[in-house]
Formats: sequence, C-alpha cells, structure tokens
Amino acid sequence: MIRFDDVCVRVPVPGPPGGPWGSKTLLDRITFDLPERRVALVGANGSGKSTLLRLVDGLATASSGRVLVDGIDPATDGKAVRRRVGFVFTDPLSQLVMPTPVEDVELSLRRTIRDRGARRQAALDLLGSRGLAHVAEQSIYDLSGGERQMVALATVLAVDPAILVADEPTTLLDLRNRVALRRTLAELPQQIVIATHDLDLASDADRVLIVDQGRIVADGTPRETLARYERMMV
Amino acid sequence: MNAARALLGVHVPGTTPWHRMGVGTKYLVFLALTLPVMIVRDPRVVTAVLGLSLILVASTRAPLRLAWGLPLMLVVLLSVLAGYQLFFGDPAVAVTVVGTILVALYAGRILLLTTPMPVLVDALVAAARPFRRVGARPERFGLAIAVLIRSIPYVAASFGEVRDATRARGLDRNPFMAVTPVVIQAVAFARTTGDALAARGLGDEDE
Repeated sequence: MIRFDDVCVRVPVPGPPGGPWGSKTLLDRITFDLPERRVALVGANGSGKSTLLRLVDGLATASSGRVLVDGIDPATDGKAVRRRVGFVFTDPLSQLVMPTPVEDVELSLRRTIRDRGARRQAALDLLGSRGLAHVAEQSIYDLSGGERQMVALATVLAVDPAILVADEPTTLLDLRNRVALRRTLAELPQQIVIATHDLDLASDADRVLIVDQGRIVADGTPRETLARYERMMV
Repeated sequence: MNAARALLGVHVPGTTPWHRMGVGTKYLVFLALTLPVMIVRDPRVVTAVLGLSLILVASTRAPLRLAWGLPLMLVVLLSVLAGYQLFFGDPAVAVTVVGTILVALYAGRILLLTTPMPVLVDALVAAARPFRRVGARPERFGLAIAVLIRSIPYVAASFGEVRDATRARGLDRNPFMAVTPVVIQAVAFARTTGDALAARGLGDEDE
C-alpha cells in the first residue's frame, strides 16, 4: 500500500534581483493511504501530480513528512522500492534506452536473467505476449507513438512490479492507441496509480484524487470527483 | 533510416566473420585501426588506414549507405575543419585531422554494425568489473555508453526540429541560433533519461 503522511515538497526559487532565494511549495501537507487497485490523479498542468508520483518511486524526495510504499521509505531505500514499483513516463522515447524493443526488454531483465540467450528469448516471449512481436527488432525510431508507449510499458512490466505508476501515459497517443493502452492497463494485475488528463482513463479507476496547487482538493469515486473536476476546469 | 541515426551504426544481423567474432577481438581491431593514426599523425598512414577501414566496414555486408554513409551535419563539420586547415594551415594537417575522425568513425561502425547492443554492454561491464575495487561501477559504465550511443540520433533529430522551428519564424539565417535550444533540449533529455534509468533500477547492482 502507498501511504503519504503530511508530505510537503518545496523547491528553491530565485528571489528579487540581488535578494535571497525564496521557496515554492509543490506539494502541501498531503496525507492519504492508497489501498485501491486503480487510482487516478487529475489536475491542471503544474498542479503537483507528477511530483506526487515521483515521490512514490524515490525520484523526488519530500521536504517534510513521509512516504511509505509497502512499508518501505523510498527516500531511504529507493533500491528496494524500485524493485516493487514500475514507472511509465509520458514520453517513451526518453524511457527506451536501447536501439530496439527486444534489446530494451533484455536490459530490464539483466538483473534477473544472467544467461544472454535465455534473456533474449524471455524478452521476445514477453513482447509476443503483449502483441508486440512484429516490432521486436525494429528501431525504436521507426515505431509509432502508440507502439513506443506499449514497448515502454512492456519494459517496465518485464520485471513484474507489484505497483505500476504512470505519468500521463496517454498524452502523446491518438484515440486508437489511447483505447488500446487503456484496455491493457485494465487487464493488469498490478496496483496502478496514474496521473492523467484523460478523463476516460481516469474513469476506469476505483478512486480519483484532484490535485490543485499542491493540495488534494477532492478525493472520491470517479463519478463524483470527475464531475467536480470538470466544473473546476471549465 | 537516416544517416544521422546511423552515425555510429546500428546492428545489422548477419553471418560474416565479423558477426561471429568475439566482441573483445572487435575492440582490439578498433584499437588497431585508431591508435596508429592518432599516434603517427602522418597523412599517408591516415589515408592508408582510412582506405583499409572502408574496406573492412564494407566487409560487414551491411548496406553501403549504413556502412559508408555520413550525415550531412558531419560532412559540413568536416568540410569546415578541412577548409580551415587548407586556408590557414597545412593541407597535410587537413588530411590528418579529417582522416583520423573518419577512421575512428568507421572503426566504431565495424563494431556497432556487427554486435547487438546487449552484447556490447555485457562486454563493457565485464571489462570494467576488475576496476570495481577502485570504485568503478561497471553496470553504470555499460549503461552510460549505451545511453551515449542512443543519444546521438536524439540530438541530431533535435537539431533538425529546432532548425525547422527557426525557419518557420524566419530566423534561419544564423545556424548558431539553433545551438542554445538544442543544448537545453539535450540537457532535458539527459535528465529524463537518467530518471527513467533510475526508475527501472538499472545500475542498482553497482551499489
């Protein structure tokens, strides 16, 4: 389970010319437990959604308060947390390191499968099981945006994380690929926490939180929370 | 695939002796081609080794546009380098400088065209492992090289995008205007890639 206990994140910002630096609050006294299997975070650009997700994986650290992932603090034992949490970024191109999908999945499997031949076969099998066998050996630059995002998801799922965190995974996708990704995510057994502007995707969640200027301003079922969010935004 | 993507070569599967050769031997071939031209710095030696490198890279049986092709940006850069030396310096230096760069490029392509990236990373990690006792981090070293190779096409594409953007605003007269945004994009790319690697726990084995 993911637990936030009075978490604040502040970053230094330049003050007036010649004056001292000030600070900006990105997250302000966030407290919640997330036991649900599907959780969506919605909010305007710059509201703090991504920072909140990055705290879960130890990519950002809290200025005060505490984050726990299955009882482990990402700030002190990031390595253990990253073995439990997979992170899907908005832009798959920044996530994929190797020239081809199969090589990138192999990279994910380096820790668990030492034998090179077995690792390659496992990577090919995994891509096949996700319907990506036809792109396994293509350059990542020759894939469509949707294929890249599905490959990025496959590289993360290769290590079988208990929790999947995704930061606006459908932002760069067209409608068809958005629907495909939504279906894939719906079938996964992992706990999933998604930050998104895609209200259809958010509506699949068991619980939706609205983040606004670093605070959780609403927290509830998708139906009531998304209706409130639409009223806030429009 | 454009030439910028293929600057250092992408793996082309095959059955040539190069494909069957161990990656360690290919590293030795790389050194055998590049070290003499860097040490001797003689235009005749550089020309001879460049010719040999072109023959060797063609013998990988990769399509010639991948084996020999050069991205336009690099051609311009090498032309400027050669032109500067021809105008202000010595033609022999022009041949040596440009030839040495090309020898290193083609020698690197022999390795990269015939070796899958995971094999390269494994080899680099294995080579760096003895240095662990003096603080080296082999997994991170291997990953860093993989990311470096992967970043070149990104930066080349970024340069093209910025150039198009400046053209669209009628600001294309000075090509150096593209440099600052490309550098900023490259830094942002490096940060995001670093986050992505950290999030995947890659390199954690070194700790």
